[in-house]
Amino acid sequence: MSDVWVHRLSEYIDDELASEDRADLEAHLSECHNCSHTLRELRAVVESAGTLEDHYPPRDLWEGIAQHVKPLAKVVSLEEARPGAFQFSAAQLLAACLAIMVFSGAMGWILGSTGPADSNSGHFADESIRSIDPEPLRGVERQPDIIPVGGPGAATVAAALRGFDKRITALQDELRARAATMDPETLANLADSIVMIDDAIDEARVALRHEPESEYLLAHLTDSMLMKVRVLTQATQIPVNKI
Amino acid sequence: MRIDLGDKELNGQKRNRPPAGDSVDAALASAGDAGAFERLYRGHVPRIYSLAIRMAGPDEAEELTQEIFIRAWEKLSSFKGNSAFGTWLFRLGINHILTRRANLNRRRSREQTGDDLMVDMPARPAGTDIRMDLEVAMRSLPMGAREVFVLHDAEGYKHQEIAGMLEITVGTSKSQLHRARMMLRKVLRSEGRA
Repeated sequence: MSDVWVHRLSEYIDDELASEDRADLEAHLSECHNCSHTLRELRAVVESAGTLEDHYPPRDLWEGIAQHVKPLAKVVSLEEARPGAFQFSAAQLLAACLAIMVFSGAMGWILGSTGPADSNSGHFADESIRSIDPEPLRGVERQPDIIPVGGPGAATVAAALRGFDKRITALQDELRARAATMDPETLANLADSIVMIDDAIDEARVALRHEPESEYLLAHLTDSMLMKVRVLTQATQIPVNKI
Repeated sequence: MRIDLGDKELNGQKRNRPPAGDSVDAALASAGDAGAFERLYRGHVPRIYSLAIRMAGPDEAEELTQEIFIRAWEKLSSFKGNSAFGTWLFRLGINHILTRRANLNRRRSREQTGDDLMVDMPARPAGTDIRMDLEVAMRSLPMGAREVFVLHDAEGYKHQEIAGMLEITVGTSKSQLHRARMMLRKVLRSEGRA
């Protein structure tokens, strides 16, 4: 096929020709049966490619993947996670707490300035969206229980922990307000995760009552609270119309 | 809950709606929750496997799919939620496939433009599924034409994006796309069809 216009047909289909070239090609198409025929065939290819369906692999590939997917276990049983050799210095801990305070403050400022993701404006056509009892969120109802810590930097650490509690409370309130619009399975998965994180937080708090100056326990508590903030923030940022 | 994925726009329309729990599962997975990552895998594996089989062929598709998900697990900390998880995963998959192909030194076939790579595609027998025939016929395209066709016509990427991904010029991308379409149109011919 040597017609020079044949080589421009894809650009014509994709609307990438200059207006002058487009007019010339359309004039040519009105006279050339071969080019018109080819154009129809090319359009059929493009339309078919846009409707290709995705397929599952012939066998489950998860087993091979799972061998490489090992839980990072950031939230673990306290007893399992207390190797004696793992210790923070007071200076390291203080620096970490200051960083956490900055993070917590910035998070509050960002969320405060942008507001919740349109939580009051949704009208859902999707029948799967329905009001549900926010019972699965019972795990996030626990009250803050700040542990005063003695030693250098104790006031700073306590302030950081109060910042966490304040942020968590605000996020929980926001999430609770959105619970009725969330997919029940998503909500249940989220609640399970929050319960697991809360268990870690509770364990750390109980242990800190007995060892109030333990830097390891404090680090464990702040790690767990940071994770809770992160998970709750992600959950509250799911756009309402995609829940 | 999750079946489809991805929010890649094609011809101005969303192909699929992102699964509802992806953001939460991605957050949980990035925190080390293997169960959440398995849920992401279950929801997204058809799209990734289909990408792999179209870009690289059936012989390598399963291995590539596994590698992509392992890579995703390793890179989850870099997922910031700025796009849908499916979009992030899909782009990661494309990059992995292209990197793997480059390592296998298969780029030469993409850069060849002569008719020596043209394959003789028979007309489609009447009554068969057009899309399935197209899937099979795409595998017979020269590598470069196949990659551009998949990315442009099946996945909706623009020539500028494709040129960046494949490290070719926009003109080459357009040329390869037209070449692929011209070869594939034969597949769609059948008795009683134009």
